[in-house]
Amino acid sequence: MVWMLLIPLLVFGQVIKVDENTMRKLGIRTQVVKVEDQKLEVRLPAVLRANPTLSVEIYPPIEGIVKRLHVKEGDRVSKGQLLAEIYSPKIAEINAQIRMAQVRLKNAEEALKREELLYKEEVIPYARYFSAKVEHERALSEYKALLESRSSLGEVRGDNLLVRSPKGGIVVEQKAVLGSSVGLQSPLLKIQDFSTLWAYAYAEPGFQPESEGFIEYENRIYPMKLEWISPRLEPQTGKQIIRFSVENRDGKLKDGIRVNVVLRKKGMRGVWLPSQAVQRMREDVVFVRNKEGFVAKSVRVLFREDERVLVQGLSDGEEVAVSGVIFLKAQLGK
Amino acid sequence: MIRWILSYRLFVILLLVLVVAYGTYNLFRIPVDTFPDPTPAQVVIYTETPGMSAEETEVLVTKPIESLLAGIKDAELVRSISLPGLSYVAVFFKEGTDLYFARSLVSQKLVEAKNLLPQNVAPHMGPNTSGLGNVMFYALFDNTGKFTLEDLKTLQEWRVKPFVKAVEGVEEVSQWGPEKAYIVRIEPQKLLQHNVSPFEVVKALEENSKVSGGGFLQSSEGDLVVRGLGRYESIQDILNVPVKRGENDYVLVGDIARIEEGELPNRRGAFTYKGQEVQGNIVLKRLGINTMELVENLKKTLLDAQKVLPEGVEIRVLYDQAYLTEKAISTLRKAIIEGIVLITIAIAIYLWNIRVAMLVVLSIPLTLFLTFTLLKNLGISANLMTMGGLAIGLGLFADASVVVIENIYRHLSENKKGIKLTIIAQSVQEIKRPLFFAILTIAVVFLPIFTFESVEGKYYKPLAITIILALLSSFVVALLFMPVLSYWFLKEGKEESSLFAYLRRKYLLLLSFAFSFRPFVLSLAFISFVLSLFLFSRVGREFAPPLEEGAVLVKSFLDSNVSLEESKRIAKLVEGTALKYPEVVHTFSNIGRAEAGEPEDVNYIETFIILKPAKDWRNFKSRQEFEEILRTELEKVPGVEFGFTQPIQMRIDELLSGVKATLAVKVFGEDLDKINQIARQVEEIIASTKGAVDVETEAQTGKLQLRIEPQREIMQRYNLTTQELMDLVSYYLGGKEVAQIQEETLLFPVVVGFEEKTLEVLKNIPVLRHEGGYLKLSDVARVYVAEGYNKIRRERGMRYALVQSNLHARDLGGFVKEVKEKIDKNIKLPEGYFISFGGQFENQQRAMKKLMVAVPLAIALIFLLLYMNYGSVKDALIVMLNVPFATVGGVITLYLSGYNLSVPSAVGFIAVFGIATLNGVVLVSYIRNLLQEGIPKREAILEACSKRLRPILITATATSLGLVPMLLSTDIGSELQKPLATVVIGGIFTSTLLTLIVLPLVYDMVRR
Repeated sequence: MVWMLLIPLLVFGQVIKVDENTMRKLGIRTQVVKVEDQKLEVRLPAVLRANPTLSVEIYPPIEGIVKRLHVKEGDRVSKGQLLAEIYSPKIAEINAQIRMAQVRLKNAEEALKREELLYKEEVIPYARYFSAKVEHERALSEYKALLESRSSLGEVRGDNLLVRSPKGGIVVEQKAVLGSSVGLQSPLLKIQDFSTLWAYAYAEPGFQPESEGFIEYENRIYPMKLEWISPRLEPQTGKQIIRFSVENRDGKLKDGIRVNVVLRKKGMRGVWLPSQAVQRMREDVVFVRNKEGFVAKSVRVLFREDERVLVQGLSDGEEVAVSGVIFLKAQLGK
Repeated sequence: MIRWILSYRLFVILLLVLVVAYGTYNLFRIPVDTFPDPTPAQVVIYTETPGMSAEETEVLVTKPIESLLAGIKDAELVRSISLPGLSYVAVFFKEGTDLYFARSLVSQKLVEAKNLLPQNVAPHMGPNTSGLGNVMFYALFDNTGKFTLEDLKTLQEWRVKPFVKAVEGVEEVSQWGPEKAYIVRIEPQKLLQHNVSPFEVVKALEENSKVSGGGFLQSSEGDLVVRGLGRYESIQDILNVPVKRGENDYVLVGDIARIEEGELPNRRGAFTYKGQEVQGNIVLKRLGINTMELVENLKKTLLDAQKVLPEGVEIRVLYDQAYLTEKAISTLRKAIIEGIVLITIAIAIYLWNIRVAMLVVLSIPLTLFLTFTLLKNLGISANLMTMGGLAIGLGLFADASVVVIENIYRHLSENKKGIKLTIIAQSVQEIKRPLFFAILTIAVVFLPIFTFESVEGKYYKPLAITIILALLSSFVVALLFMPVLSYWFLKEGKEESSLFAYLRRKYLLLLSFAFSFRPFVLSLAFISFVLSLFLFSRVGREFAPPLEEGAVLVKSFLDSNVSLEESKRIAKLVEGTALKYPEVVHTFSNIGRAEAGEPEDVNYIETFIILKPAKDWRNFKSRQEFEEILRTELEKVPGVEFGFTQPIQMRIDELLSGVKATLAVKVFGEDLDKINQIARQVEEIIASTKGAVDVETEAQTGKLQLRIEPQREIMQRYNLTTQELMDLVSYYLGGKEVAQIQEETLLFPVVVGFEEKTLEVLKNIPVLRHEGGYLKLSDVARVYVAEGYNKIRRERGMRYALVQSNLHARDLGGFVKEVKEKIDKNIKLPEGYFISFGGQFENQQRAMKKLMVAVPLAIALIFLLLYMNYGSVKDALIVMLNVPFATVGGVITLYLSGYNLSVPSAVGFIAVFGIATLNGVVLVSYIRNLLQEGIPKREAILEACSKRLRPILITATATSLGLVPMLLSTDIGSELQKPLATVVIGGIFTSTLLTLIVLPLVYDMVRR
């Protein structure tokens, strides 16, 4: 009975005799292996989203009517660029008040000058001079207050408010046209900076991402950084949401693109082989060439990917069959 | 009667001319066939079960069909094979069942069966052809390099096939090669980018190609036919099909896929010629059609078909069954002619009169003419067996005429004064009754052969019937024509040549010598009989020697998971190995199955190696030797099992037992794993038995499957149905047709598929897009690889595993006996499991069982006739002594020649019993006549022996010499008759010897 335990060993020790000629005819090709530190890649499906920290919506601080619009949807804008001029009745009113205050101030100044002269010649008592002085101070402060209140609204040219871009970016939404009424409730434009995007990737729960990776899109590579692992799972598919921030190097990445994110895993020592080189018998085996033919050698599969497998258990310089392996397998199985 | 014949002799001569003329006419008009078709009455039902595994096919399709058909009228046996994607059920009917009737019964049942089967699965009957139906192989070659295999297949399908199918007798053409199709290759990445699901693609492609008729419309232009034309006419049409419409935009098929011209996916077969894939075809003949005629017509038709093909495309016939017939028939023709010459010489020497010899010789063709006329009018074709019957009976057919003419001649020579006419009439009269009796004896001996069944019946019944007809013809010739011809041609002469007189003197000396040493001679005879019985037990047993076909067929069994490409490589290797030998004319292989039909997959290859005539062989002397060479060379190939046989032999083997090998061991049981395990043990036992070659356990397990199981919970969540998922599987993986492209009058299928069909791509097929993410196939279904069954065989409703083996240098009977003993000793079968032996062995056993009845029956019939003739049991028994005498020689020659005891050698024994009895009858009748005349016993015996020596010797010599050409021939077609000839020659030799020496002694001793 004990010898039966040895059967697997006997089978695996069997040399499958194949000569060069037969090998060629059967299409058995070999590859000399080299054990290396391998970088593994994991691919996850992901969708790109605009980075909300880099977007800005533009509302004029006061109600008004768009008098002039200097940009349109899709325009690239830089910081401080004039975007629009908005006519605001409030500014017009302030302007009128300023003008009135100016007149009052002028009158108060003149009254003060006359009263000062009269007081110096001791024509009038000090009390009268003082009250003129007070009157002037008041007109001045009133004028100053009005000016201040106007400049607090922003840059004003005439009765119009000038709206400038606070950030560089692309006008992604144009919400008003010439003559639109805009204000604190109705926005003017939305500007988005696409220099970086967010990539939401979906992985199996419990997946431990590496901090760096890249995105493959149209044969270009865009580096990215892990930003956040959501504490919630995607409710429908139950997948782990992971957010990366991607550098949009050439501006080709767009909101909504579906891509694969590629994550590099920690290196492992092993050999990459085409997947058909590894055959499952009782365990995973590869066929190693020797003088007479091939012998089966069991290996440990570390990682499978598309058409290749990373295996451990081979040593440098061994020649492994990588195609036509089924004939060797069948012979071994006999 | 005889007087009457002689007086109207001119009419007789006229009749003779008529017989010759009509006989010649029939000789050229008689249908020629290879050999009797041994196909049992069977109807095959194929059911394609796309996507089903072998287990599912068995349970859902094969079992219901089996159970329905098992109860059908006259159905004897139901055998089935379930494969992934195909169910094959064969119903065998009782012999003699009208096949058309059987087919209509089956087709009625199939209507019923349809309701029991899953939807979209439709059973249909296989072609009405026989096992020997593969009458011709031809292939289309492209000499210009312009045409792809797909183009050639299209040409074959639409140009050549209509020609071939129109030929009377063609049931079907199995065609190999890829079918042209347009493939929409979808890039999964693009699907994602455009947010399109694969369902939408299929739906769009289907919905954008519709054709409909709109009836008729009256208009000012006249009456118009209304046609809706929505069919795709070019690749561009498909590329422009909108798949998905957004608010302002749409996605076209061209955005997500590209279209290429290619082959319909999932092909399960290929045909190679000298290692290169070609478009090969096999013509299947309808049952009961004459092969020779059909092949001739086909060859003409193919020449016509060649004319409609574009320049550079060539039709080449690779193999046809007619060549074998031609060779076999010419072998037999040669044997017959040589036999006639030999017999002529022998008779001339015995009778020493050229006129007598010429008359006797003339009787042989006359008999043949008459026989051919009878055969033709009875609807029996000239084939290996009927012609063989003529060749082996050649001497016998001369016998009657020899007796008649010899008697006439002797009387003429003795009585020189008498009136010629009266002498002739008297001498014929004298011989008429014994002659009739003698002919009857031989004819009756062949009657038990009619109890044969199955193959042996189909083979040897025509042989027996031909011999009986020819014997009757020879009787007619001897009594009708010979007396008349003798009247004109015979002249009295010297009664005996001096050579023969010398021989007679020596014989009489020997006989008297024997009388004085009677106990010694008798015991010697007895001992030799006992010795022959001993030898008989040492002779090997087999069903029938293989017919040499001038071709070798190599079967390659590959791992069940090989791809078509890998199979092609093996085919190339096998063909390349064979082509190294200059004796090989050409080679071709068929891999897997043609469009539909054969229950084989790409892991099975049949390679045909067509050889030059045997006389051109240098590197080997026999086919077996060549097979051995190939076997040794191919042994180097790992992972492949090879089997060797011949094209027609394989078909016959397969027909008889459902197995393509000589010996099939079937392990019956319910649990597939268990029966496979037992089968492995049996394989080991067989492989370790001497003589076993090509031992192979058919791999029933080990077929890898990719299983896609929907995860219902998840599917429900997304409102996905199993139907949708299965559609995805069948369209994208199964290559289901979504539309057609019309090119001129031809329609080509359009199928969808992915850019690459790998496991990884498959798992990642986007099934449904969802906010936030998308679902891959592997999200909604379990996609995994598992091991399943490859082939499930059933017989009489039970599963079985199969171990097959061929034999080399060993007889089948002894081999099976040894294997059986070993199995009984080493394998303990669980309850409900049993092992049965099939293949040629089955036939041999059945045939031997029949022979156990037929041979005693023949002996009994002889005895009955003898008794009727003599009215004396004693005399009858004495004559019957010839039977053991004949056995002695037959067994000895059989043993020495190395042939096995087979059906033909058994038929030989039956024949020799008849001939031997004849000798005894001639002698004993004469002794009785003399005794009645009152001559003393001893004197009468010696007188009879002396008088009858010549006829006895002539019969024996003529019969033996008639067989000699067949015995010495090495040509195709002689194999089947050789054991028969061996037995007859040996049997005649000893029986003649013993008749002449022992019989007189015994008669003397027994008769008071």
